[in-house]
Amino acid sequence: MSLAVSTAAAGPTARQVWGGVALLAGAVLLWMIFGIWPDWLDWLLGGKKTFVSAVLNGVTLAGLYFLVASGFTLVFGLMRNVNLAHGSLFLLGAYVGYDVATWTGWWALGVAAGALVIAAAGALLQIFVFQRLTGDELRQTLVTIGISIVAADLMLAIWGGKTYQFSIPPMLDGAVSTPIVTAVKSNGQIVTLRYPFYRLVVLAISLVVGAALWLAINKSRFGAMIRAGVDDRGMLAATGVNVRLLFVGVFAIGGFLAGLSGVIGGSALSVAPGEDVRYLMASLVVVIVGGMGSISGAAIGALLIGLAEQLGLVYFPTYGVVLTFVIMVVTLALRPQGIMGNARTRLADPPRPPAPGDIVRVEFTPATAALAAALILFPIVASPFVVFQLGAQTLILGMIALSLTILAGYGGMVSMAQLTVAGVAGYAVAILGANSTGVLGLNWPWELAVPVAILVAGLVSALIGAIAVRTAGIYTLMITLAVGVAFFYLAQQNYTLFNGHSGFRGVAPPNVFGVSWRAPIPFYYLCLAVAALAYAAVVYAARTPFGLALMASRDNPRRSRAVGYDVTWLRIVAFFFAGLIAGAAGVLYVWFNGRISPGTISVAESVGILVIAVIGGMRHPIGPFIGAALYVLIKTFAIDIVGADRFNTLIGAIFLVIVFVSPDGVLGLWRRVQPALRQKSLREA
Amino acid sequence: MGTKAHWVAAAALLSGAAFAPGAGYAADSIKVGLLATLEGPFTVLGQDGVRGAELAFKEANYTAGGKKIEVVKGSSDASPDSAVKAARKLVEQDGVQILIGPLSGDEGLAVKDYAKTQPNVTFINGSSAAQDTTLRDPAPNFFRFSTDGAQWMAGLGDYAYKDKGYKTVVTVAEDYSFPYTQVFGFMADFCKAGGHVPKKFWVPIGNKDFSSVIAALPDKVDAIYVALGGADGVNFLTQYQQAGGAAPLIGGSITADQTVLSSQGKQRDSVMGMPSAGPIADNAEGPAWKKFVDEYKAAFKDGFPTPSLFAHAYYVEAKAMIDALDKVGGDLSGGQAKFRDALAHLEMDTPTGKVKLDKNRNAIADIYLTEVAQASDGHLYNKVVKVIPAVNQTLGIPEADFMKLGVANRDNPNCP
Repeated sequence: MSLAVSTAAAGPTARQVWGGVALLAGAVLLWMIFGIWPDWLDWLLGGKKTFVSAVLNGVTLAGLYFLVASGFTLVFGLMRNVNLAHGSLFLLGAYVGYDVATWTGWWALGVAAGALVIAAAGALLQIFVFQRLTGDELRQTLVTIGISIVAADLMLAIWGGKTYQFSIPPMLDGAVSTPIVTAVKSNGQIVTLRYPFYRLVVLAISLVVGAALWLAINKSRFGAMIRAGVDDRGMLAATGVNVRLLFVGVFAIGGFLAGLSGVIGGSALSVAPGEDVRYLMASLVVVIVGGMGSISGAAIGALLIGLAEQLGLVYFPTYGVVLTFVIMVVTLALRPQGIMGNARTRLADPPRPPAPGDIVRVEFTPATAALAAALILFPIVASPFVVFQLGAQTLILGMIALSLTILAGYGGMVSMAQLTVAGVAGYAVAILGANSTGVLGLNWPWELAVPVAILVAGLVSALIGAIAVRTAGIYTLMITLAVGVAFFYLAQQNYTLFNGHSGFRGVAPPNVFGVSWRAPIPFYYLCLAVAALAYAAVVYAARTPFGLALMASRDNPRRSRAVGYDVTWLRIVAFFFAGLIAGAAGVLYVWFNGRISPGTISVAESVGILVIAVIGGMRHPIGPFIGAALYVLIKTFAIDIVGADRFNTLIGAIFLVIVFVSPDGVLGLWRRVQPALRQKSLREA
Repeated sequence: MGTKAHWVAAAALLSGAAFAPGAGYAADSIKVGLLATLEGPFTVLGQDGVRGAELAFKEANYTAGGKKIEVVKGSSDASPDSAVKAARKLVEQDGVQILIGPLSGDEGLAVKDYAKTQPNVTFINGSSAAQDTTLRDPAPNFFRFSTDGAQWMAGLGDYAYKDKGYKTVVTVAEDYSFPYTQVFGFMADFCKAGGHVPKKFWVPIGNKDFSSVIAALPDKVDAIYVALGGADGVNFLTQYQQAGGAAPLIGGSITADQTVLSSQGKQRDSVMGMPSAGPIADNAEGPAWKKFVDEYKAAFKDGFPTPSLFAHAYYVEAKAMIDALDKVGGDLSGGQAKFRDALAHLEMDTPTGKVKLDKNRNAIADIYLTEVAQASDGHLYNKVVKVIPAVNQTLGIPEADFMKLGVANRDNPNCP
């Protein structure tokens, strides 16, 4: 008798379990749709018609989301390019399609035009912009952000704030009867569900496109070439393939998908400014949940998100919109690469040499003293308006941007949630202290409310860091952006704690030592003191073992771990520290505005902080303050210079120029100009 | 490296000091700030508001009380933060003595708070229509010659119950302050008359997909009250028609606007006969309105086909300022006391009837009850059914009872 060791698995594998669960869920769902409901189910879910409609709406919306996200994930998966201008391409496709459809009278022509024009746009973008930045992912992403800012504003200028409604051909319009029974009338007549036909058309198109994409990438020669080029570009080029042309083709396909989804989605849900951000965020969440670079992942992610959104709208209308982001956070916590994502694609932990974005060592020199003196004497030479509106605002926004800069420069993590963290502190002060809205305002003394608010901000930032820290580079940017948007929606929808859309008014700094700190000059000095403290703390921390360990983990996480540092913990602590700075700035910001509402922490404002950080220069802690000064100046006086309505084009263009020409912002420009000046004086000597 | 950075920063600082506050005003001119949404998606509305104010200035030849009127424009993007920043620039940098604006409801609340910190400047509303700007905690130097969102709904609930016979109505509106006010105004009348609102559907802001909400609408209602703005209104109607919805609709003040009425397609049928109410009506009878429309069309070739309610509101506010200045001969001395007194007691004739202020400095004005009708050439317009005269902020209800109704929000008022 031999002791044979059984090599067969003792029980079902994880995959089999999940597959079984999915099958079971599918069976239950099918019964719910096609079967007759008992009364208790009717009462629980508000009627079969409601539920089935919501499910169908979710599935058809998922089709649309898949269509939009497919272009996004394709470009990333194959070219490692996070194209945050994808939403702008979507919107442009919709506008172009609308114009063509209205002009020719044929909707189908509009679809074709939208798709083809954006395909061309995508190709042009790849040729003239992204090709030059291959390998530098952060810069590529920043460029796409800049393009999206400028594009959104130009589209607003051309097509205005109107909402455009497509005329769908009558053949596709109207409702059709489905075989789904929703009720049986008292006279025995069966009532079936009538469903908008166009939504089914959208679903059909997305299924066709999805299948075609999957076949093209996995079963065709073209797809094989692309996959090979991603793995090893040099080798592919060596086999005689024109790799450049190939990648232009990929971007063109991505653009085609974006434009196509723009017209099709626009026909379902109308076109207006703001749709670009909306669909970009949807794509972001879909691919984060489904897995970056995976077409099937995009399909699964879209299904989950579409269903969550529609069911949420019916059954939890208040918080349904936050539900999708909750799903995203849970996915990130359990499986950071997404459902169908490849663990390899996380891009975490590659070793890298010091990059241009890294912060340099700061020395305290006579120049520092001169600057300090200038800052202290500033109110004497400037008017109260300038001191308050320009000076204090610059210091506050500069501090928020500083928290972003130190995370990026010292930690290698670009966090788009710093303004959100500042907002958390601002809300905390409004809730814990006094406000004139009549909601909450617990009237805690400021000595208690302010430190608690800042601490809460730090903790929230650490929490965001904990979510984001299992990824790196561009992922961190996307995830922090999505978290920021989630908090925005939460604040907007919740009235018990955040007072929703209106927010809190009448939040003012306290009277301490007999001084009203709301007056322009005292407030300016308060901001100056806090900013100086933050600046000094940053400079000091950079020289501590913590700071050095953080920088080491930025440069080579694997080696740092090998030496014994807990890289995850270092990063979370860095987020906490940055959160404290952002929190302090947030308290000052709510005092500056006298109010806080979701609009203060919207996506546009968060992008503004990134713009400030980049323009000023990310290599030196003074950079964000310089960037903030420029930003505030241009914003305040834009109406006198270019007319207020093109401010975004102006600032976006400056941002783009800076990213292209001088990755180190205004400071970098100055450093470039310097050698030329120095040489001249030598020649003259 | 560090050295240079700090020098650059110091240099940047000195340039900031160069922005001296704007030169003061000459003794024989009055500086007026005009704040509207001139950036972002609401630019078109802000531009029309500016047109309304400019029409009033043009009528008076840019003179009031014997002094010249100097206008400085300020721009916001419909967010309260930007409105306060723009107001601050106008008041503290440009040195305006009177500020007309802002456009949107939430901005109005923020500007009112700012007004309290600037007692030497008189703030006159633009078109912002939030209730609490004047109803609760008003500012003594903030004057509103236009009506608020609840006043706009005066008489509609009563008309829906008694004249149209709708006993049960559900509401669909966006989940924030202005729709709350509109639903409040509708339900104040409707519930008092005996109507029932079994369910209120609050849709998150920016939501374009109403199909699930439409599927959840109860079958047994007499009508659906829709307080969705122009673009969302079109979306709702399209999806409603696509889903085969049959119940008649009642519209909020901005539901039955030109965007909806001029759209093509089958959703026009859902809108025919839809009652609504608001501060203006496209075809109000009365020579004053016709004159206003003709003047607007003549002065602004690039304007809308007819002036929007923003142009009308800004026109009325600017005209109020000019009339009051004329009354006091342009005297803004002594903290503008005489001027503010004149404003508070002003009774003016506007294109839409008589306007005067209540004790909170909010307008008491006429409201138009309308129904969507088809003209002989096929296009849709808002036909005036009734004029509700002299509607005040408490909608005719005694003030104590009205304040007991509480602030308009998701759950208030309630009559299931």
